Parts: sequence; C-alpha cells; structure tokens
Amino acid sequence: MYNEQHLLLRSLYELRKQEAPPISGTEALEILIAATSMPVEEFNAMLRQALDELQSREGISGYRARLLLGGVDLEDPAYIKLIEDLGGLVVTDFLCFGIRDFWDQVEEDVEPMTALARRYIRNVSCPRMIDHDGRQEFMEFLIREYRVDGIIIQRMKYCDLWGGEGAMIQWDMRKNGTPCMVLEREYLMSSMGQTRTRVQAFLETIGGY
Amino acid sequence: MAGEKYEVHRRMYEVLKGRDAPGAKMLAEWLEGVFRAVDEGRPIVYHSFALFSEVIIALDLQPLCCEAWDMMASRVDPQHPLKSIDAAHEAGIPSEMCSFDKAILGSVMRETMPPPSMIALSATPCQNAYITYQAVAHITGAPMWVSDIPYNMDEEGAREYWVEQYKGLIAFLEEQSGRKMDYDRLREVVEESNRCVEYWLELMELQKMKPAPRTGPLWTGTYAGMTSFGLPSSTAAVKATLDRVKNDIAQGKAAVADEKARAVWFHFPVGWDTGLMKWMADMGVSVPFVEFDGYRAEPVDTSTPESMIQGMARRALEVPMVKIAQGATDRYIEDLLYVIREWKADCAIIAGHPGCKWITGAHGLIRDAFREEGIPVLLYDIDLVDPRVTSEDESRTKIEQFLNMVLDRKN
Repeated sequence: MYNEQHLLLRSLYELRKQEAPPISGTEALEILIAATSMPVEEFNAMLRQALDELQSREGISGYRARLLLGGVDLEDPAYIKLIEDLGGLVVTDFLCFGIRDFWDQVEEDVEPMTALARRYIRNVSCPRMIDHDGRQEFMEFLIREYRVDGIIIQRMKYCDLWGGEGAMIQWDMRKNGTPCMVLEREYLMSSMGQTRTRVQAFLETIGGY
Repeated sequence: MAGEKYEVHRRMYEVLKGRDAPGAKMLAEWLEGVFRAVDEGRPIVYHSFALFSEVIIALDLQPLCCEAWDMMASRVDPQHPLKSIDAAHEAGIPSEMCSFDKAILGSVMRETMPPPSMIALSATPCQNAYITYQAVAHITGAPMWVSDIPYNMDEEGAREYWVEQYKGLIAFLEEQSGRKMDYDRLREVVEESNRCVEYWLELMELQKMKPAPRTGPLWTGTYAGMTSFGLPSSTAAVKATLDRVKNDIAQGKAAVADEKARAVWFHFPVGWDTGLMKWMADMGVSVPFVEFDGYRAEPVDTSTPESMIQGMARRALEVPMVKIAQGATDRYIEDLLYVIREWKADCAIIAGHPGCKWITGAHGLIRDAFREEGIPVLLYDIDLVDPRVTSEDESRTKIEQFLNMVLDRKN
C-alpha cells in the first residue's frame, strides 16, 4: 500500500514537470502532509481521484520562475504560498516530507524488515548521511527533469546539517549556474516580511521580470 | 619547504623546537611531521579529536587533528581562528554552528591547514562535526571514512558493531594508502599509548587531592591525545607533567594554597581567556577537573590484533565529549555527578558553547539534577573559541557572581 502511495505521488510529481503544471507547490505540499497523516488506503483512493481531476484542470502559467524548494521539514503550506504569491512556482522539492520521503520503493521480494531498513538507508538521504555527492546528483536530476530556474533552500535555525548542506548546495550551484538562495527560518512562521523581500529580490535576480 | 604557507604554525614550530619542555617537544615533533609530509608529499590523514591517532601512526601516515591545529594557532595569533570563522561565515556557513568546526572549515578554505589525503572520522560527538567534515571532503576531494556509532552502546550487539566499524577504519586507511597494517608495529604504538594513559590516569588521580596540585586545564594530556598518541613524545610529555606535580606535592605546594572552594569545569576550556583560571585562583577557587582532561580509560590488551582493535575501539568511546555524547542525557548527567563526587567539588561550571546543542539542550535537565543533589551549577553561554560572542568582562562577571554565592554558602 505504501509502495502504491509512492507511485501515485510520483504520478502527481509527473504533472508538475509540465510547462503549465495543473497543481501549485502549495497544493502539492498539502497533499504530502495528508500522506503522512491519513490512513494510507483512504489517502490512496483520494489521490487517485485527485489525479483524475487534475488531468482536466487548467495549468498554471504566467509564473516568474520554476523553483525547487529544498531543506528541512516543512509542514506549513503557507510558506510556499508566500513564494508563489510573489510569482515563483515551486515545481519540485528536496524536502524531508516531500520527494525524499516517497521517491524510493520498498523492495517487495525480500524479507520485510530488511527491505524497510534498506530503504531507510539507501533512499535519497538527509545530510545526516555522508552522501553529499548522491544528494547533489539527485538534485541535478531534478533541475533537469523539472526545468528548474532557481533553488530556494530553507533551513531551520540551529539545524547544523542543513546549515552546512545549504552552503554546499550554493557552492555546487554557483558552478553549474543555477541561482540558489538559502533562507533561514524558525519552526513557526515568522519574519515573513523579511522572507518576502528576499524571495522578491531572488526572483528579480533570476530574471523573472 | 612549501613556501611560506602555514606561516602561523611555522612560527609556532620555531618557538617550540627551541624549548626543553617535553610538552613543547611533543608539539614541535608533530608540527615537524606535518610540514615534512607536506614537503615530501606523504599522505596526511585528517582526524577529529574523537579518534586517536594510533592506527594512523602505525601505518606510517601523518595524523593531523584539525581541532588541535586550529587551537594551537590561537596561542601565536589570537586572530587566526577568528579569520577562519569569518571565512566560513562568508562562504555561507551559519553563525550558530560550532566555532571549532567553523574554524576548521575556514582554515581549509583559507589554505592555512595542509590539505588531507584522506579523512578519518567517527560519527560522534555532534552533527556540527558531521557536516563540517562532509564540507571539508567536498572542498578538498579527499576520501572520507566515518566510523558509525550506535545510539545506545549498552544495547546488545552495539559494542561488536562499533568494533567492526573500527576495523572498517583500518581497512579504509590501508586501501587509500596502499599500505598493509603491521600489527607488530601497531603493538609498539599501542604499548606506548598505554604508558601515556597510565601516567595520565595517575595525574588525574592526584588532582583529587585537597588542595588540588593544579588548577584548570592541564593541556598536555589533551594535546597528547589529539596529536601524538602512541609516540614516545606524548608519553614523555605527560610523564613530565606528572613528575612536576608529584614534586610539587612532595614540597607541599598546591595550585591554590588557600583553597576555599573547588569547581569542576565541564566542556572545553575558554581558549581565548587564558588568564581565567588564575583569576579564579585569586578568589580562592581551584578547578581540579576540566572535562577535556577527564580521560578515563583502561589499558588496551596488546596480546593479539583482535584484542588491540577491541581495546582501541573501547578506548575511543572514553574520549571526553564522545563519552557523554552517546545515548540519552541521563548518561551525561550521571557522569557529571560522578566527577563532582570523585574530585570533591563544591560546584560546577558548564560552558554552554553556542554550537553545542546537546549541552545547551540539556540545561534544564542538568539544572534539575543538580538541584536535587544540592550542588550549585552555573550554566552560561560562552563561545569557547570566539570572544566576540561573550566578552571577557561579561563572562567573568557571571562567574564571579556565581563563585561569590558558592563561597558565601560554604562560609
């Protein structure tokens, strides 16, 4: 059932690759949060229905830039809404509750505990794991697949892992030419005026009018 | 010679090599080894203080403990770590990360620390180190080994797992260097580090005396553990300190003749306030125990390669900070209270170094436990590397108020 959930979420993310995606980043995060808190069977049924409905939904166009949002746990869709209200469109992510949570499948032909453990160890990792190169490779794959114009890394203050990883991503992106900004945040939504100003400036530097 | 690179450390080397004190000789030999490795292109192995250097030395590789490299530089140039910290900030490393780690990263970026051929790390004590060394590997391209440590070492199989990780470290060093471990050579090295530890434990036992023979950090053991563990120079340095202490005791000398109170200092000493312990001594307060001197380990059994590996792995768990960063906070608190009892302290001072989330996060639990035991404890925020966070005046004012309260209580 969880593997099915992962496949359904991948289908949802397929739609986000479109030039005019039928779903915003804010809505996608709402769905992902539901995935972590609802009974899985019920969730899968609802997501199947949502995917059907999204087929006929008009896509989002006229955005200023296609963005990848990375970083720590983010469970407040209002954070993405703030970015999208300024004209950015979050088309993919690198979040703990996002793509990193569902991208990999649990092997079904091996002993279940082993399979679960393997997935925890081998999936696209948190910076807690010593695999920056693996994470960088996956991020570059996302940039290509989702035609990302810019990256925003949001890191929670005092999260050392994302503090260091965010800096490393910026160093990498400076080399490959993808604009990247690191935003510090608190657990609860705060300093929103400051965040808005920084996102606005970032979108301008990307060149989105 | 590699030009004028590492100028601060070369200057330090020039000063140290002219001194007779075994501690100075130990550090001079270590620096000389690093410079020679740079000049001859011999492999340099970065390791954190959480892993001793015996296996690196036995493979005839050059150990470079990054924390020691930066710490000692501040003695010659107090601005050195600050410049490195600023370089890390400028590269996007957050200010709230540990200054020790920011300094390491900044020194790598500024090229004031020779680049590593490989990096040997253990997944402890903190996430600061974890991400810092990933960034160091990213910048330098050096391959890295991390010995993974179970959360709870008392769980079944945890110690065996840790020993396997230690074997993995040796295999990594062998593979990267193309050398094979000579276990007879390793035995020599470990027998030397055993002697060093023996002297060190004896020294720490003497520190339990009232009045304490020494106050504040003893440094020799800390640097021996970080730079030259397993080399005769480290044993000689620790033995010399022990001999001096014994001599002072025989002559009836103590660090604070009129010892009115004893405080234990948890965490690393304040690197930039070198006069702090003397200032506390002037108040009549001695510090017989500083956490980084508090290394308590049994000798390693050198009878077989397996027993050596098991012993070294076990001993690595006793490194200060590593010992208390394993598992739940209860373990840390138990250790704090043990030290208070054994070193007969009247109070404790715990430096809440901003990068150390595992200590600052435990403040409330520590305060409750100490209150229950009736032991005064000062928990205060101070950056142990960077004086720009809490000034000397501010720091000493807090300590003074606390110690006055302790002294009043004793009277």
